[in-house]
Amino acid sequence: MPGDLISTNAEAYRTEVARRMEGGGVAGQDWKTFVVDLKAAQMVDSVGLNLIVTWIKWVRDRGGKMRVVCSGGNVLRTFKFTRLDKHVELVEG
Amino acid sequence: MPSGRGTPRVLVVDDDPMCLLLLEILLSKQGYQVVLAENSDAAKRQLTLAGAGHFDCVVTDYRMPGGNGLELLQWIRAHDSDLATIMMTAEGERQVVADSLRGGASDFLDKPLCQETLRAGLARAIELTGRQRRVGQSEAAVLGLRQAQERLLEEVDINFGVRRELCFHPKQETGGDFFNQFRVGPNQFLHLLTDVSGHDLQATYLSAYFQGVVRGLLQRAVPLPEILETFNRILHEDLCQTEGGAGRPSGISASVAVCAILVDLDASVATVWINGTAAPTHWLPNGEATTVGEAGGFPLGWFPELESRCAVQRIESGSAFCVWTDGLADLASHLKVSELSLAWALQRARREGVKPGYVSQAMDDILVADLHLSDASAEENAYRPLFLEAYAGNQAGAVDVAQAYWRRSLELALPELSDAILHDVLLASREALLNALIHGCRTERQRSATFAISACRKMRTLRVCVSDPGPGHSFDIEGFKHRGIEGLVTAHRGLILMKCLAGSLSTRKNGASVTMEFAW
Repeated sequence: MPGDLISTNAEAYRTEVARRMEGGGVAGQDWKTFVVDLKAAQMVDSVGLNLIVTWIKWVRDRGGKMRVVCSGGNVLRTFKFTRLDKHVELVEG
Repeated sequence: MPSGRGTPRVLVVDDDPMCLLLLEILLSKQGYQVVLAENSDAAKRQLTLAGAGHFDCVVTDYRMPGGNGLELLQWIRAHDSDLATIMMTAEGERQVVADSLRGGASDFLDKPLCQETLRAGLARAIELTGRQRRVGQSEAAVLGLRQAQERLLEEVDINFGVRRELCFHPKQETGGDFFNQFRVGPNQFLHLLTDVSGHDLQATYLSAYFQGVVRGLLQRAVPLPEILETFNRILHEDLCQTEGGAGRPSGISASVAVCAILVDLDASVATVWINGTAAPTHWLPNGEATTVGEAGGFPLGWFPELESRCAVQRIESGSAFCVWTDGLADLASHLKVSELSLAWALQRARREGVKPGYVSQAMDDILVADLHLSDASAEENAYRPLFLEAYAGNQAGAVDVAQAYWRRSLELALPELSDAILHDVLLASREALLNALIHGCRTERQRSATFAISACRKMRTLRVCVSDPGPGHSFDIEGFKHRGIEGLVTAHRGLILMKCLAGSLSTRKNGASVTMEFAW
């Protein structure tokens, strides 16, 4: 992700990622971990978090794991106090 | 014979006695009073003895033993900067000429001297000295006026049951913005903010004249609306005359924007009249703020009929008002911050004895007036508004722009906020506003949500309040939080975020009004 994951761009990411996952054949390939790179993000709002939740469910349904990479700071705190860190592997990078 | 005050006095400096004698004869014949000095030190002694302002011109040779002409020129610039100096150089000394002009010499003369060139150069130099001295006197007079204006604004604080705090940044040395207070009854006090068009001496004079007219008419029990109408008529007739009317033009082509706040402590109301200014903001100690009346309208002098915008505000102990001239609105727009946050920042800087650098970017005079119906200690514990905005229901897509605006404003008003607190305030505010616009206003343009942030510096707390006109809804936020987190439910995640980010969160109107607090 080039920046924040927020209400004004989440839909574009949802569409693009869905296109790559389903249309691009990722769903049918042999993969174990789905990585979301949020190193460039300073903020993830509720719509962005909901998109993460959607991806968590999608990955779980396919037996995979999800990893979120962030640069620490505010995004890391957001994942922790909303306890989404219990559902993803949260990595500071 | 040169003209001007008395006989012009010229100091001639040269180590060549023949040259000194020649110049004395020539200049005396031309009507100058001539004083001679044989070197740089002698010249300095003459200048020091006579005092700054005595001589009208210095004519000095460049090459002299014990200190050249350039060194003397620098000394003169430091001791009598208005005194024009002519440098005499040997023909072809281009570098000396260049250095002399760079050092502040008004002219140079090639040796051997040409009588006509000398006559013309000296006349120009004396005229220059006179002009520079007049400018200096004018500047000193304007500076005195500025100091008087500042004293009147900042020091003459009459306790009229309302404590005032004024912050004034004129664009020039003085300005047309002014604030005054008048007692109109035992417990009735009129607070008058005026902004005369232009920011020069005429504006300053007209402002003072207007204040005098108001004071005189109030003492004769003339109601304020009538006073405003009278002054409007005077200005309008003048304006018409200067635009080609039949009367004799006064040369004063100006308008006066006025915001008047009449505080009636017995009735616990404040009546506000607005003619071409911002509308004042009223707030209570809990930070709850409202804009009183409608900004804008026309200033006095534009049209023959005056239409003041009048509004009434209930007041109570702890009530406060803030009003400002359009210079603040212009600067806030330039800095892309809220007017209230800029007013906060300017008042804060004034208390700390600092003039913020960004004030130099102002295009107009700035006057901010705070009125407090509480003592200073009570005010310290009160919340002061930083934002009071309305967002139309269809503006959810512009929330990034709003967020950037909040960020700039908060960084200006409260630079001590940490990055983490700023993030939490911005994210929670974003969630609250989106919730209000999407659910409370149903994204309809005709509906709007109010968004307010206030802060208490003593308690180091920010308070964000977002209200919408919707019916609200069940606000079992603890239940949402549990289901959302444990069950990975996507609904109500904005509310969960707000709950997690804010130090405290409370609701009113069945959840249609949310207040969040953040400690820093």
